This record gives sequence, C-alpha cells and structure tokens, in this order.
Amino acid sequence: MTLFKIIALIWENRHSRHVAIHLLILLLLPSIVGVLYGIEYNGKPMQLPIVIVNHDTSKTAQSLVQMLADSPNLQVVKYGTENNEVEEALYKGTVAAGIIIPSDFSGNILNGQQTSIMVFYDGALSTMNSQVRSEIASTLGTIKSGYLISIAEGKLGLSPESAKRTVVPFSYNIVMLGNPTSSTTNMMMQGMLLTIVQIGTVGAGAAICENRRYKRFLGKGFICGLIGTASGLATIAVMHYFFDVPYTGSMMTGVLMNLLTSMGMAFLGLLMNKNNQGNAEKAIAGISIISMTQLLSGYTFPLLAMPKIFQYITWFIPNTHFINPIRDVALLGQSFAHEVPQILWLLGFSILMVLFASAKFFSVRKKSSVQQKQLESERTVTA
Amino acid sequence: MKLSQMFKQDIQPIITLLFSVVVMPLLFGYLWHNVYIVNVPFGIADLDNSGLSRSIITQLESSPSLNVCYFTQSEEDLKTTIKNGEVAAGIIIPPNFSKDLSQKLSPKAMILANGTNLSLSGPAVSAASTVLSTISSGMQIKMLEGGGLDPSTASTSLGTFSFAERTLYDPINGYLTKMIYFIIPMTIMAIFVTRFFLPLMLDKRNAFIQHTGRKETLANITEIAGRVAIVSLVGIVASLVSLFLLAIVDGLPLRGDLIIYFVSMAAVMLNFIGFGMMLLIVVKKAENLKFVFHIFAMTTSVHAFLSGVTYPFYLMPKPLVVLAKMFLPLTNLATELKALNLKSIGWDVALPAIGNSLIYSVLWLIIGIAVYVLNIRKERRKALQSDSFTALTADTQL
Repeated sequence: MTLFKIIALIWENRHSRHVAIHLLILLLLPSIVGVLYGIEYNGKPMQLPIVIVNHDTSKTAQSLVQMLADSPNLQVVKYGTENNEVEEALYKGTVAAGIIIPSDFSGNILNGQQTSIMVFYDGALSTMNSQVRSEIASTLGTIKSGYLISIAEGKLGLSPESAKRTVVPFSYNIVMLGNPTSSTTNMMMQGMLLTIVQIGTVGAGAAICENRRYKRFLGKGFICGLIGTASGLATIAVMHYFFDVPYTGSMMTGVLMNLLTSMGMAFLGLLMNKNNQGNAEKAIAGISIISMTQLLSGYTFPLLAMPKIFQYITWFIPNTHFINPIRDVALLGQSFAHEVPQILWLLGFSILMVLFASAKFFSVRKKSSVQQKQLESERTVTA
Repeated sequence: MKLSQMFKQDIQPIITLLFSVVVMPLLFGYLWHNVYIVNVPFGIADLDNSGLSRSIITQLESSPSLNVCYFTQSEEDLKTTIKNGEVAAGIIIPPNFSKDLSQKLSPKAMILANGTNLSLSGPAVSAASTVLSTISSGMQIKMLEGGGLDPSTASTSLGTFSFAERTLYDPINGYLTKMIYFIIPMTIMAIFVTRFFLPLMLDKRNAFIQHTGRKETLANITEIAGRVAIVSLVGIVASLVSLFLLAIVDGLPLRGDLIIYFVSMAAVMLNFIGFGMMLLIVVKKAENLKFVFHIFAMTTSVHAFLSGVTYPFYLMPKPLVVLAKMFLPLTNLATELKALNLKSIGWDVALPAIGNSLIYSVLWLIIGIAVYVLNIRKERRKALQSDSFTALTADTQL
C-alpha cells in the first residue's frame, strides 16, 4: 500500500482524521513557534535606542557623545536640547534610556571638580531593563577608565602603561559558564518550546483516547508519546541548526529525557480524557495549566525567591526534572551520569501516569459495562 | 431575551472568568512576592590566601545578596560546583594577587557564574562586581596618593567623571510588575475566546441557518450582542478587581487614569471579538473547536513573546512586528496597558495604541462577519436544495 493510499484511508475516516490532525499539530507546531522565536531573538547585537541631551558644546563632551554613538549596542535615535526630551521619550516608550550631559561637564573636568552625567532608564521596559543598564554602564565605564588613565598620565607624569596600572589596580572578568554571551535565547527558548511540546502531547493524548480495547489504549498512548518525543527533538534540532542555540551535552540523555517526559505527558492526556468522561474538548480545555509548571519549576524565576511552600511543590512538577536539567545538558554539557536522578524521576513519572491512566481506563470500562448490563436487564424486564 | 436570562446562559464562562482573572493573579502575586533576590549561594576559590583576599571574602560575606557557602582551593572544583548547581556563582582570586597588586602588575580576578539561569546568577554577579569595584576604588585612591597626589586631589580626580543612574517608573523592577499587566488580559482572552465566544458563534451559526425569518435573525443578533457585552463587561470589571487586589496585597503600582483603563480594556475586548471572528473563518463546526483549544493552549507563550511586553518591538525584525500586529489581538495594546499602570500615560500616548487596536478589530470584524454570513447563506442554500430534492423525490414516488 502506498503512502498516499494510507493517508487517503486515514483521511476518509472522521475519527482517524481527527487523531491525525492532533498528532500533526503536536509534531509541527513547536518547531514553527521555535522558528518564530528564533527570528524574534535574531542573535544580532542589541541596538538599544537612546536619547542624548548634551548641554556642553566642548570637544570633550562631543567626543563622549561620539563614543556613545559608536557603541555597537547603542543607537542614538535622538539628540535633544532640553532635559524634558529625555523624560518625554521615556514616557512615550520610544527609547530604552536617556543620557544628560551637563553644561559644565568639560569645565569641571578641566578644573578638577566633580561632574556627573545623568542616565535615566525606562523601568517599565520589563525584562530588558537589566541588559540596558549593563550595556550603558559598560560603555560609560570604558569611557571613564580612558579618562582616568589620561588624568594619571597628565597629573602624575606616568607612561600610558603605568598610568593604566595605577588607575586599574586590579581588574576582574566575568565568565558565564554555558552561556558566555548571556544570551536570553540560549537561556530560555529551549525550555519554553519543550513546555509547548508537553502541552501539545497532553492535548493530543486527551484527544485521541480509546474506550474499548486496552491494547489500543496503550498503543495510542505510546504513539502519542513517541510523536511528542520526535516533536521535542525536532524543536531542539531547529533551534540548534538554524538559530545556533548550543547543544553540547549527551545526545542520549536528551533523547531519553524527552521520551520519558513525553510518555508521561501522553498518558496524563489519556487520564484527563477519562476524567472528563471521554469529552476530548473539555479535557483539552484544561491543558493550559501545564504552562504554569514552567513558572513553578524555577526555570525563569529562581526557586530561591519563591515562598517556601513552592520550593517543596516544585519537586513534584515534571518540568523541574526536565527543562531545567536538559538546559544544563545542552548548555553546560552535563553527562548522562549527572542527570540519572532526574531520569529516574521522569521514569517514575511516566510509569505512574501509565498506571493511573490504565486504572482509570478499567474503572470507566467497568462502570460502562455495569451500566450497559443494567440497561439490558431493564429492557428485558420491560419486554 | 431578558438580561437575566442572558446572564444565566453564560454563568459558566462568567464564573471561570471571575475565578481565573481574580484568583490566579493573586497566586502569581504570592509566588513573585519577593522582588529582591537575596542569599544566592556563592563559592570562593581563594588561591592567594593573603590579607587582601581575606578582606575581599569578608566583604563578599557581608553582602546581603550573597550566601557564601562554598570554599575551595581549586579553580576546577569551583567550576564543577557551579555547573552542578550547588552555587550560582563564585570568585577565583588568583595566586599572588596581593603581591602583584603591590608591584602594580594589575592582577585579574575572575567571577564565574552559571550562565544557564541568569535570573539567579545575575544578582550574584552584580553583587560580587559591586564589592570588587568598591575595593578597586579604594585601591585607586591609594595608588594615586602613592604616586604623589594629596588625598583630596586623588579622591576628586577619581570622582571627577562619574555617572548617576536613575530608573524611572519601576525602580524595583520586580517580576510581578514585569508580567502581571499582560497576564490578566491574556487570561481573559483565553477564557473569553475559547470558552465563550467561539462556542456561542458556532451555536448561533446553526440557529441562523435553521431560522431564516427576519425577526428571528434580529433576535439572534441582539442576543449575541447582549451576551458578548455582558461577558466583556465582566472581563473588564474582573481585571480591575484583580489589579486592585494586587495593589492592596502586593503593592502593585496602579497609576493610570481609570477612564483610559476602561476605554483601553474595552478596545482589548473588541480585539478579542475580532480575533474570535478571525478564528471562525477557519472553524466552521463545533467539533473542530478541540483543534482550536489544542493550538491555543500550545501558543499561549507566542502571545506573550510577540506582544512587546517581554521583548520590545524596536528590537524585533520589522516584518515580524507587522505580522504580530496583524494577527495577535494583544499586540496592539499590551505595552500600552503596562505603561498606563506604571507610567500613568495620558490620552496622547494611549490614543494611537487604541486607534491601532481598533483598526485590528474593525478589519477582522469585517472579514470575519462577511465570511460568517457567506457561510451561513451557503449552508442555507445547501439545506434548501436538499429540501427541494427530498420534496421532488417524494413527489416522484407519489
């Protein structure tokens, strides 16, 4: 039988067509969303829009403005003349920050008096605020170091190298293990997308449930779990090959964790279907709750800052044992041996889900057969 | 249909809406109550063992952001401990650090952090950087003094060029204020569109097909308008109640004008109706709703990521912004709603956003209603044809 005939056969039957659509949604949608996110966080250096109000017409101030304009991460969208232009631009949300250089800036520097540049940030900018601050602070910090070196050269008559050592007695560098560029895409995207896969797997499980034969019930759960695994792996591959999200650790660990989580989620979906008396629509309507587990797993908001109770609850959440460790595998190159406790947890989770879903299957089947017998006996009595 | 009857008919989505919009955000408020991340586990690899290195460690220990809980003499051990997640970050003070400093060799320390979870390691890195910068400034003054400058000139020289930072609108920058102004309308959208609007319109579609009389059609249209208005109003009021409760319990800033908020939320609800009509172009049968629910649940985060709330529009590629604004209902007003509550924006900023959102609503309402009506007419024609065919067959048989 050719592939086209098989597809035609599936499409002809309403139930199998619906099952196929749900499985296709599960298989393709996470990768499509991954492409969207990849395009959004396109990996280019951030060009943060800023406004500069320079009241000082001196060469020193002009060169400072030029240095800010030359910074690869900043984009001066406006050169203002009044201080309230900074406030206005921040109020309208057209810039991420505003810099005001006072009129006595270079004069004070020449006279050895203190002078201060004011930097205003848009606190309502949400998650970008810390990145904006660090970009601007780093640019101004570099300019300040250069200036101090020139002071030391001038006032102390030191050579440039000695001046540098005097002004920078010691330095430090920051190394971000597993994510050297502090990339949000690397830090977040994989877990976000794998959570989408989990939601999709539960949804597909809830949609394709079986009421009569246990073997088919199990078979559907496993197929759904396998497609969830394929979807998760495809998503990781898309992010890795098209958007350079690193995957440096053990491949087998990634596959195994995906498989165990997807199996557990598929049977959770079947269980939800059974709990809703086989009403797929009602069961699917409740799957959004899975997205909450990503928040509770400490993936984006640290567990340390959550109330104590959530720090205990988090252990019972599959995402805690899936997206967090898989991020470590992908970015830090963690080995299989390191993730064994998480793998065992996920194994336990998937076995429990199979058992719970099976128990529910039998209890529902028993109930319906009892009801059927009652109906038959009522019919006999009536007859 | 009477108002009370309409209300009764939608009691289930109304209760879900009230519960989700009022209670769930309170849970988020409790979850994200701590705005400062303190006591982050921190490790130290002191390979210098000098007075200076011990002074650095003492200052790191006194930082409230850090919980210095791991000490080692090996760089590799510290790396492994960070990778294993036992500490979020750490510092390596190299051998001869103090000696190199006294010989003006400008030694280099290293702050190592787990880059996989920046929300945890970020505060640790920032606290350690502050400690090192403070010590470095002290050293700079001593170095300049040692070079022959008097103490006051040395300190003035260092302070000559400084920059002061001010964060406007939300200086604390907590997680709750980052997210909640978006989560509330997002929750309303999920319930309004999937639990109420789509089932209602699919149900009425059948009614429109079956009842062709003008009076019945008008009654159905009035009923739709009435029920949509009631549930929309409940959504707006629930969002306000939720924000007020969060303001009382968690101190959430609410600085906006109430009228602007109400108008903006009304525009948001209109967007949801437009979005619903857009979905109805594809969904024609109630049995297909489960596909919508499935896709909707999987793409919740897409609405958040492309709304401009988590990642600003000016950093996104332009075509993506256009697509997002064309298809996603919250994109036009999400940042405006946040700015309204945090920046207390006036009509000058709110109106253009409301205008864009109205364009979205009107566009999808026109296209959606046109397709909806065309489909109904098509179905009616089909029904008429099959009726006349049945009648014809019956006549022939007679």
